[in-house]
Amino acid sequence: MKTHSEIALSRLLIIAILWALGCATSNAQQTSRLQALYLFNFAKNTSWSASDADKPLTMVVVGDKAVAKDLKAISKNKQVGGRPVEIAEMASAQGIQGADIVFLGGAKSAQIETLVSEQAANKVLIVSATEGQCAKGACIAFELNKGKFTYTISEANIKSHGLSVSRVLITSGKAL
Amino acid sequence: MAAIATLTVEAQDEQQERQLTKEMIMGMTIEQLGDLPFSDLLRAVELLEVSSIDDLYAIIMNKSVASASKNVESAFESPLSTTVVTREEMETYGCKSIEDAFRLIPGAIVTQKVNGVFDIQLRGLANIPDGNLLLYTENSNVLLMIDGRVVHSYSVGTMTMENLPISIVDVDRIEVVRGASSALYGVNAVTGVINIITRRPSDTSGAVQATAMGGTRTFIGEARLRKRLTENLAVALTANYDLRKREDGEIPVVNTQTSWLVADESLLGRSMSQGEIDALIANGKLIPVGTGESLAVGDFGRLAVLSPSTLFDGTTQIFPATPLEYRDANKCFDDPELARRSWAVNGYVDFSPSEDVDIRLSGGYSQSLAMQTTVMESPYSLAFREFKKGYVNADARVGGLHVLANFYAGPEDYATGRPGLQADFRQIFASAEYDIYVGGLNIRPGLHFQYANGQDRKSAFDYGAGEAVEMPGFFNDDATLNAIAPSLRLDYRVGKWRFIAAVRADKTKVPDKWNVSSQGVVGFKASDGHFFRLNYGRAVRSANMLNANSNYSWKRTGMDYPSVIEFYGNKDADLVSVHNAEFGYRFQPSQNLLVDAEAFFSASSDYGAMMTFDAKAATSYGDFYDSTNKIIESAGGERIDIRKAQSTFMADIKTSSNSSYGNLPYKVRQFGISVNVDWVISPKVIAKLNANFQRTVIDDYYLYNQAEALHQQFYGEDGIINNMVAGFSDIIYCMEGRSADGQTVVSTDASLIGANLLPNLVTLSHSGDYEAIVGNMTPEQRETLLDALREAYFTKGSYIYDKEGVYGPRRITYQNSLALYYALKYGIDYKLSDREYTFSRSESGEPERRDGHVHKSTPAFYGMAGVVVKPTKQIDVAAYANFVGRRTYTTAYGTERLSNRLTLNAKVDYRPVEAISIFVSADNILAQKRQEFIYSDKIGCAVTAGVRLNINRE
Repeated sequence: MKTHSEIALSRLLIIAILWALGCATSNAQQTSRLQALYLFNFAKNTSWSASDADKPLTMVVVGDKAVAKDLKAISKNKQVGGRPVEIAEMASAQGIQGADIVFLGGAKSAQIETLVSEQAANKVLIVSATEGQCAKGACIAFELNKGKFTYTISEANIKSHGLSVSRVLITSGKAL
Repeated sequence: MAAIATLTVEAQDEQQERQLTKEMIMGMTIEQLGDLPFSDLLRAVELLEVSSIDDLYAIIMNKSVASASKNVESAFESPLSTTVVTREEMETYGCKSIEDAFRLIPGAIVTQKVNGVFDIQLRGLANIPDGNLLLYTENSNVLLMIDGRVVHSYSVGTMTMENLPISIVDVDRIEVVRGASSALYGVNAVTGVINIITRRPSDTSGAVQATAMGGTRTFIGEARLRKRLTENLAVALTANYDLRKREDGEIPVVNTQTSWLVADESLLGRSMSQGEIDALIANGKLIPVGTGESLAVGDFGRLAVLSPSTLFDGTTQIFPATPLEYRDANKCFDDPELARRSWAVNGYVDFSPSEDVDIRLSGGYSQSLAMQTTVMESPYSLAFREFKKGYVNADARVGGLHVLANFYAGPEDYATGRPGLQADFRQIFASAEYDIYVGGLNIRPGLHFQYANGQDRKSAFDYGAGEAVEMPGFFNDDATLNAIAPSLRLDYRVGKWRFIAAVRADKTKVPDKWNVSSQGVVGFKASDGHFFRLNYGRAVRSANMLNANSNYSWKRTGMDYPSVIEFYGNKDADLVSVHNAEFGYRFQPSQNLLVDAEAFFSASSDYGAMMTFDAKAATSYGDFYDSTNKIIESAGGERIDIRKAQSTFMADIKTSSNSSYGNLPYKVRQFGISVNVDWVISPKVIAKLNANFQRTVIDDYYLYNQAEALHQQFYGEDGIINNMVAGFSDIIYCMEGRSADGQTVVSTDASLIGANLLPNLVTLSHSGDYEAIVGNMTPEQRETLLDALREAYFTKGSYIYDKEGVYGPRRITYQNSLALYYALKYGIDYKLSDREYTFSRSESGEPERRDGHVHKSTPAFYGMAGVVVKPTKQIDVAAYANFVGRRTYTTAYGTERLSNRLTLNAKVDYRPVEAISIFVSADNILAQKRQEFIYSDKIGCAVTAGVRLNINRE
């Protein structure tokens, strides 16, 4: 026979679980927000070609709806280097054209080789959500290092795409 | 001017950076955050403190495991089907005891029989053969170890979890290896291995840890003190206490016959006419008690069975259902509301004088009293098991040599208050293994020794009317199970490949032969996130003293026949063996997700049971009576007129049945898949899930059980079936069927039965005159009845229920009707001289068997899903659901079904300071009050609260 106190405690526990899930969900969103914020700052700290000044700055997000959504919110009514920002979402890293920044979501990390190979001759900043992918050709790769959200950056890969980034971007990240 | 302005702006930025607080950041919209300079954003990220996710990954994803290859290695690359659960996980998920932790492990089937008392299986394969004692439903296929020290009850061949000397506070992690692996670990690793790894005194965990919790029928306390004395020497002491109560003090009744509760004990032993019996029933002085119904302990003294003896003088005798020795159930159940009371102390010493030498000593003492499934036939489904055990263990590694030796001893009582089930046990294990490395090849030869001894000559008990009487024990001997086993293991790594081959040969004393186990394993790490494994193993299950050494007389004084059942062990029976093959794949697509899947197939054989089919061992000395002249001849040659002896029939006449252990020709196939997922959704949300699907099929399944064997034996090898008519007469007298117009008819009219009822036979019940029915049947009618019985017992394989029998709802037991089957089949003058398989022979002369019998004591689906949420650094919330699919248990007492069971458990943990944790947990929140096991307690919602201290300072 369940006592009233047991019922009350059970209900309290259920409420606690729901509350905790709510708190945790907001924390789960934090990572995608951070990635979006960083991406926007990467865009601000990159020297884009003057010949593209009249075109929108196009950021393509592959396989991460949350980052794309946050990025759209951040860049709404904002410009980077005098250029409006356009955010595009794609399910695959294959066949991307006209992008200035491509962000490869964690779920699509296996497509890094395809992306790097296809974009080798383009002025594209390739950013990956997956740690260690600078070694596979990404310009920047996010990681969590001892609990801190940070990134690895490869100057060589950035240069190979004909781009350059600000000193603060280089020094704030971990050089490959 | 411009310079001043710039400085001002910088100063303002600096000021803003200094003043940027976590609250400010959290309060910003994402658009506002997007406006922050990159340096400010970096500062904001610093303040947000995502948490130490690497530590989290290490705990959840990158566990280490030692059991898999006896070397510490990454669990991800373990070439066997391995799962590790850490103490932290146990605490987080609110496990109150080590047993609870198995609910988190794939392949583990956890059954809580009464509060805090468990049976734990890996992949099942228990209750084979079915239709037997409840003991056979317990796990006997898993090798349980603590730090590699075997903890196995060689007396009855099971794990006795309640007597584990350690509790969660001792544990570093639990490692489980699924699948046959005797070649690597030793006998009894039939469906897997459980190795509980304790914390080392020299580790860096808390120096003082203590937990106390209490709540619904539960109080648990445990503590651990650790101290490093010198750089090379560390010690630890632990203690635990576990008290669990039941909801009430009632005990479920089990019996192969319908039991009756008499109004007062003076009715016991009396013979009455059918009319008087009917009057007692009508007046509520004789109440049927079905198997599984519960009674207060005090009522067991009034429990009876009816043994109709209408053949003799038309009366029915009311026999007590409980033997005289323990008729006073209060002696068996001192405190029937107690579920478990156990306590233990342990000491550990770590000594590492040099890099190459690592010595670990441990010792302890434990006492447990727990209400567990009864070992023997009984009107009680539960009995108190009381164990008192001490152990010492030495584990030394010197260079490549690893030596393990331990001693484990103490009295075991499998049913307190009942005579004959107590003995002193001692076990010694020793093993030595040596590692040799040649390039990538690790060669590990080993030698293992086991000595397990039980001794019960000294057992003496006080029973009956307070009279101290020395009773025979279960073995009446020194029962010893020795084994010595050389082993060899080869482990070769080349590139991404790993190959393990192992062989172990156990030269056992019982049976006196070599029992070979072997293992072949291939592991392939395709890339960082992909690991494949292929594993074959042959394993054997050791003999136990119950099966090998039983020499037990169950004196059923004053009970229904037989008055004595003899149990004989068999030292020559083959050991249960299994061939197991499995394929596994671990997949880590990202740092935060780990999927481990396995598919397995096993084929096992040489199962055995206490049966009567071994003619050599089953030498009956039963006495028989002739239904015609009513004169029987006792073993001593005395002739007794049964009619005169009626009132003291069972007391005066020695009737005995004999059972011995032997192998059955069962071929058991099991196949299934398990999937386990660990997912760190975010630093603050961790999910865990496992799902297991499996199917167990038995070929050459025999359609009879232990109770039937006993019954058949009762008639004896020298009797002829004509003499058994008296035996039949108390079983089958009338038949009930449906007439042509659909009405249910109960009749003793042979012609009516033969002509109209048999084609639609639905029930059999006992009243009337056997000979009038069967004796006068035409051969055709007999054939018709035979077909009906065959249909009922060999095709459907089930009992026939009498919906409205003479005495109310009851059923005709399988064996009784089976006896009739054979009487009809072979004719009433059929001689039982050829006793071996006699009662199970088909017309072709071969035993009746069935292929493809689905064994349902193991659920077809079971698993769990859980989530841990860490909303703040101080709070953990965990919730998990555990699902066990429906099960069907056939035992000597009938067939019982357990429906699907879903339990939801949760825990909230709050740490106001680092050293203190306050928690509340609730088990079975949905309060689905159901049995997890047949003939046991319904487990309801339980809420407990507690506090845990963890002080790091030495």
